[in-house]
Amino acid sequence: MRRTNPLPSIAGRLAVAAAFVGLLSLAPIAARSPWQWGEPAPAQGQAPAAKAPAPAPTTAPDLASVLPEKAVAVLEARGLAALARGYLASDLHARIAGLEAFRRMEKTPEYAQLLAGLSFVQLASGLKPADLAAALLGDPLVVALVVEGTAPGAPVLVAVARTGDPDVAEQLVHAARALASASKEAANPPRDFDHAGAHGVVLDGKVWLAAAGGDLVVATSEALAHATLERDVANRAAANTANQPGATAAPAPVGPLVKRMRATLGAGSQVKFALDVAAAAALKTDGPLFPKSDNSVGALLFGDLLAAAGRADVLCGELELSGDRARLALRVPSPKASRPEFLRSFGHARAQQPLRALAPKNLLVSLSLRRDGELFWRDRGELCDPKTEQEFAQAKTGLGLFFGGRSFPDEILPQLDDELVVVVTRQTYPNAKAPPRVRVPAFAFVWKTKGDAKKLGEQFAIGVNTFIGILNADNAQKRNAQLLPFVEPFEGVTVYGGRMLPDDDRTPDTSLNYAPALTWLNDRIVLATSEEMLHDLVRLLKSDPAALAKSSPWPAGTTAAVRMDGRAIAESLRENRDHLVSDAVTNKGKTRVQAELEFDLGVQLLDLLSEGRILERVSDDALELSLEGVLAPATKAARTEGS
Amino acid sequence: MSALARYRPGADGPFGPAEVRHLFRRAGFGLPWDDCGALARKGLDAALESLLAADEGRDAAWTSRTANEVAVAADTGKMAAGEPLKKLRALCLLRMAQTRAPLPEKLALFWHGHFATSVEKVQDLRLIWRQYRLFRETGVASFRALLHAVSRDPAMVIWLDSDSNERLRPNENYARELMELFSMGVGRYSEADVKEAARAFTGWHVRHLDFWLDEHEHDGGEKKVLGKSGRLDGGDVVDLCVEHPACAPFLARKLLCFYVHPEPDAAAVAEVASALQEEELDVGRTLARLFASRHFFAPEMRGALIPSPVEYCVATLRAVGATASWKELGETAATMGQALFAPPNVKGWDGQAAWINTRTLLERGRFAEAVAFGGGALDVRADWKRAAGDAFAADGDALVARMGDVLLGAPLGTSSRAALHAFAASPAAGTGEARVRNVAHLLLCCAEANLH
Repeated sequence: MRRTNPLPSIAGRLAVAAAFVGLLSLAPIAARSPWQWGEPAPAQGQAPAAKAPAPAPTTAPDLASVLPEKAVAVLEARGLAALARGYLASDLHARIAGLEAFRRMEKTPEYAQLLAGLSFVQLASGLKPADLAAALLGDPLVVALVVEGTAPGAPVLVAVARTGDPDVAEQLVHAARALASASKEAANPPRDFDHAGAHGVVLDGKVWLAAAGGDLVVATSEALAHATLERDVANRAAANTANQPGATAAPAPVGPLVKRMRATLGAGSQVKFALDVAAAAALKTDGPLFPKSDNSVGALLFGDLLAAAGRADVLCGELELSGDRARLALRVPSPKASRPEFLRSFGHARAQQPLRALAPKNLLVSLSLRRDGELFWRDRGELCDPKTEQEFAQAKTGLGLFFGGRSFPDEILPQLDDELVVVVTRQTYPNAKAPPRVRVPAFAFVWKTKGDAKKLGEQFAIGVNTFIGILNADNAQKRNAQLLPFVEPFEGVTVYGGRMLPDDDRTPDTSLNYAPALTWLNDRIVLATSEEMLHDLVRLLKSDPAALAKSSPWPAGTTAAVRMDGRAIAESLRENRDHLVSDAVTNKGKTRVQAELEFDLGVQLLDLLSEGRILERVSDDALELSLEGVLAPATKAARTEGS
Repeated sequence: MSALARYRPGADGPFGPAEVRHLFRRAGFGLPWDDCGALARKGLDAALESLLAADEGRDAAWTSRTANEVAVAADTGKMAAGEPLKKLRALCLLRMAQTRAPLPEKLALFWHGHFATSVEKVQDLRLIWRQYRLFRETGVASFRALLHAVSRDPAMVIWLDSDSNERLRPNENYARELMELFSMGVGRYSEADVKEAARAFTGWHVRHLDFWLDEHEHDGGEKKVLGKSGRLDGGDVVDLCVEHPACAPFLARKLLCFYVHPEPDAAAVAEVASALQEEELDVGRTLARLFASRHFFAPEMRGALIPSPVEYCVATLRAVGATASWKELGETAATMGQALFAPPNVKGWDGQAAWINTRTLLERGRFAEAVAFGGGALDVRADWKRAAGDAFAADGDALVARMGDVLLGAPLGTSSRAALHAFAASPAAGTGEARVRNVAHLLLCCAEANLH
């Protein structure tokens, strides 16, 4: 069996970046457009349209009440229609459309095909793309994943979008029928159906689509489609009755999962979702819903979340857009009193203490972690899949060699405290004649020790020298250049490391990326792959230790925090463009033109991301994982490009 | 009738898409069927001109530059066998698929098998790639010039131990293989010739990745090689080998086995040898005459060769205009028995029937499935609708005929054709693109798919 490349492909990385920025793309529109029912925001430069006299107030039924009571998962979205309508007039759209790579993409045959497809859809539906998107997203939109009957089987899906206009909903059904008839791919032709006074079409025998008033109903089973239509029609009828003067009626009930979701999450989020863990687990027959992580690093980062999720009854999440920020959060109920003992290594007890962050020059990514390594190692059986035992065994052996034969879990880990910062920076190669062809970012680990770091630091220093010795012996066999070991003072600390001699041209220049360096300062040990970075970190650690200890950019309760600078990452990727493009060509079979376009589009979109964050926070009753993004402010040049 | 008598379309036989396909599959890495038709309409001369074109095209030029960068940036030693080698193989295969100069590209593959230098001993991708570029740039011209260049090529110096060939301790490795494997063949020289030739190559070393004549280690004394005496050096020995009467027939046989028939008859060998001598051992000009000959287009030459894994994989992808993970393709070809830049020994790959055994045939079957259905590590993506052309919605017979023309390098046998017709007409074949893929898969599993 061939080993697959464990590193994410360039397409994967760019897809994640694009999706992240895609989320952000909604943010400025949200800031400028109301996301409650109402008029869409006026286009830039246009005066608001004159308002028609307001109709008599009515109370529309709660759309979530049409969903089945028992659902495995639900989703509720509000305000997306307005966002869709406002997008084309937004600053963000102008910035994206102004990107050089986007303009190249517009000239590709695939883009022309996309435009042709959109034109066809517009023709069939009678709606412009923005209006079509708004209609499909609805206001609100509700979705549920349901298991039909009592026997476990494949879940079915239902989605209902409130278009607000019965004609639009009917048009969409007609358009879907027309598109299905024109398609040669479907095995079954579309067929009409009527139920509960609503008219619809069955697409390829698999999807039921119907218009009920202004509500568009989509379901993947006939029974679910019929039941949803019946509820929708009944609810609207009840609401019409309630709207009569003097009439009252109880609001249609929503299912318990929807109730729980709304009670748990804030009112400000545009998208809310919830998962019934027990119901979802019943669908998965090949193991637990949230299995233990099969790699040790994953377990170290998210092991507590996985364990808590498996014990929770309902998981809830939300997407919140505010100004230039977007936040996606997942909340896992986990009462403090009932958390299992084996989660003790995840820093919950000290979560309220500030978690340190470091920001050396040219920072790309930083990870701040509150984890007790010694306890994690002891509890690994509860946290990790048994397959990881080999990783731990290899780590023990390899690191044992590094630490002069000492037992890593028994003698080294107990000396480390529960704070670790990992930073990744772009290198500038100040001592090299020329930067290498492939520029690898520098990495550094900053450990907090229990007490003074000197004793453990000396053990680390011996390990670094051992590593340099082994590396040099190996390089000598290959007729490569070697590292010159050094021990030098730097601003009050002693640095142990190895560096390439700039005049030795025997070695490929990629080796210039690696110059291990180690030092310790007070209660911190710093190990870096570049001297330049180590010097920066020493200066940072010396600058104001007391202030650094008290301050933290992370909110209270944070036990893990990742921060990334989109623009800096884009710059670093650009420096390796040729290498990454050729990788995409050889590994993915893309043409050079395709690979270059995808790369350039990806990095230019990353340029739009000022900061991205992943945070894990702990409170007395829950664990929360959130992904946050901040859009970079538009520069004058970008504004000019987009106009 | 002279084997190299020029083929006269019409008089000697047709010159249609099948003939163009035969020409480009043998001399290059194949062409899409529709392009075969277009070239056929232009005639034999236009087809040959296209085959012998020198301009590789912009994409292939970019691939070359990238491969240079990969080789230069790679570590040496065991690291060379890891990711950088896979990437280099991938870029090489991509070039073969992209190139608009098929003859030099195919010849480079021929010389790679002929001079059979392996990265596993050389352990430096820069040198291996430099040698491959030498084959591409020089291999299409004078064999004499090529052999001189190869004798001084650093990868070859390391591969055949010229690096340890010293005045007081001559190493006979290169001298022997020069005569036996590279220029004359077995039985054309004596052991004394080998010993004396080895002395001529003493001091032919490598320093700082370049050829270096270590004067101190070179034996400048009197020697006698192949009947000629004098203070001969390595260059003189190369000339003696090339001028030996056995050289042209030896080279002619190898070219015929690679391009025409695994067992060429003596008359054909003699004619091609004669042509080589007339052309002063210019391989490109000789091949141009061979590819224009009646012998080359004779019916018994069609489907007579078993393509090597690299030829088979690249030609199949070119036939349907597909892309794939080129890195994975390199691994696939290696599993089929041909790892680029790592031939099994100094004799290179045996070829022909040696490409086919139970293990490699299974791997070819897996490749066929990957091509037809996509996905997996190889991730082949083909435009099947375009490949099927007008036969996409036609009856089963027409589809089988069309896809057979597109995918196969040899005519489909009667029983295979009948079975495929029956399948294509049955409900099991499916409809639309699924039907095309299913037919393509079965065609690629036929024996004829492993011939060209």
